[in-house]
Amino acid sequence: MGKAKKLKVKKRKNKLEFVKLRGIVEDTHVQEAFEKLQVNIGLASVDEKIKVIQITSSAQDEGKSTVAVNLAFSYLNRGFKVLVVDLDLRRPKIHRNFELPNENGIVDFASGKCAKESLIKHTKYGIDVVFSGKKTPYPAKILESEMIHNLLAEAKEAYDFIILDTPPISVVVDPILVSKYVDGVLFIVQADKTKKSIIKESLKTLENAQANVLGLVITSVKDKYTKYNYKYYYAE
Amino acid sequence: MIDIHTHILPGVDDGSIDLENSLIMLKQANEQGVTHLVLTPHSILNSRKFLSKEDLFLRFQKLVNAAKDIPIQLYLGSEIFYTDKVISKLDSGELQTFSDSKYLLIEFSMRNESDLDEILYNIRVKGFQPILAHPERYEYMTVEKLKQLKENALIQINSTSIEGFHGRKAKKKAFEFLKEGLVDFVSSDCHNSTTRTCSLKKSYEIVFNKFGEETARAIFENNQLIMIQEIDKYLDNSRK
Repeated sequence: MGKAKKLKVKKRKNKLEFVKLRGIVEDTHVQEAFEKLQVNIGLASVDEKIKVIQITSSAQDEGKSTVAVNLAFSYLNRGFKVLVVDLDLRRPKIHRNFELPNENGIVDFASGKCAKESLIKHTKYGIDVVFSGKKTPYPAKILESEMIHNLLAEAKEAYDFIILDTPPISVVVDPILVSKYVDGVLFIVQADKTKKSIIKESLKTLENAQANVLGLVITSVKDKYTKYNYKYYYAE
Repeated sequence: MIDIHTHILPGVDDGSIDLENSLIMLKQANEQGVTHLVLTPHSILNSRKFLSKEDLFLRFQKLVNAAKDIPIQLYLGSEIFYTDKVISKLDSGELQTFSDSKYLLIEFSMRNESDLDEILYNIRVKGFQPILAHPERYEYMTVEKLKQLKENALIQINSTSIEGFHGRKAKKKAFEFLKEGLVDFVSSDCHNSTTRTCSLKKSYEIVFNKFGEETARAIFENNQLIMIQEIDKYLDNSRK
């Protein structure tokens, strides 16, 4: 009789990455990188306080959500109160990092289908999150709405840092709309993946929108000195 | 063999029309070597034919009593057709999963593509284990998409797709999915005792010859057995 195939659902790839990045000792390089990122954002706050941080990139799957969540953890580890908001209403991912259903989110609240009290989820990790909720054919409309502005204004009173995950710039207009109400933008670039021309074009778009670009975070850098195939570098 | 996708429960959907026919179908399944079988009538919310769990259970008990002499262990499930309200109905316990366990069979529109990845993820994080019914029959399904879906769902394909009953495209996809190791279960999706019977032996031989004994045994029996054993354990614990 042949060997039985194991009945097992493969673990979500990004969940494994999340756990790895968060706390396993071998990943101290990654933890350090996020701590450096935090420090550098702090340095950029000398003139004006950076409280609401937007995460974007030029293309999809460059590690935006992973950076958003791990930066949040980095702040949490230093005793700050952090809220992560998934404003990628087209391809939300933040909920997957916490193995929670994407319900009672921004879109549901905007359409009157959930109460404001249900928006903020207190995860067991100590980070509070707001998910995107049900998909909408009008994401830009929601991102420009007074509702979002009001929510963020309230959140600013309650949290030390608010991290907004937004779509990539080269794909949709959403991140540009969001950049108008944040204190700073972190631009994520996956090493050896995205063409320089697209990165330049995306940064130019942010510049034209007068966004405060804090710097670039480069993901998936191959490091010949460690066995891991990703690191995070922060570059101004 | 273990069949986890069947329309043998009489008079509830487009499957078996009456008890007599159901008994014939069960005998046919027995001849195919089936030892355990899950009854999965269509469950479509907002349909006139939608039956409550209580109604389904009454019919199930009647069939179990009538089929006492047929050596097949029967379980009650359903084939849930996804609509917006399904997740909340699952949460409230109103939809029939496999013996009320975490396992459930779910199907989607074969033509209109929903965000299957997100839906199956949402179902899984609610504590259920979705089994995606016959994705080889969905017009929009590809190997790449199915690989993504496998992160949250187990995959069941139809024996009839392997045999070519559902057309060339479904057959081609079935073989592609088999080749990529994406299939967890092969089931009959039997509907009657004439044209869509509980046919498993023929497709088993096809898979055996093309992909080897290990794969064939795994997706026709062993994977199902692991699930059935979990369900049995769940039922034992529920009774205590």
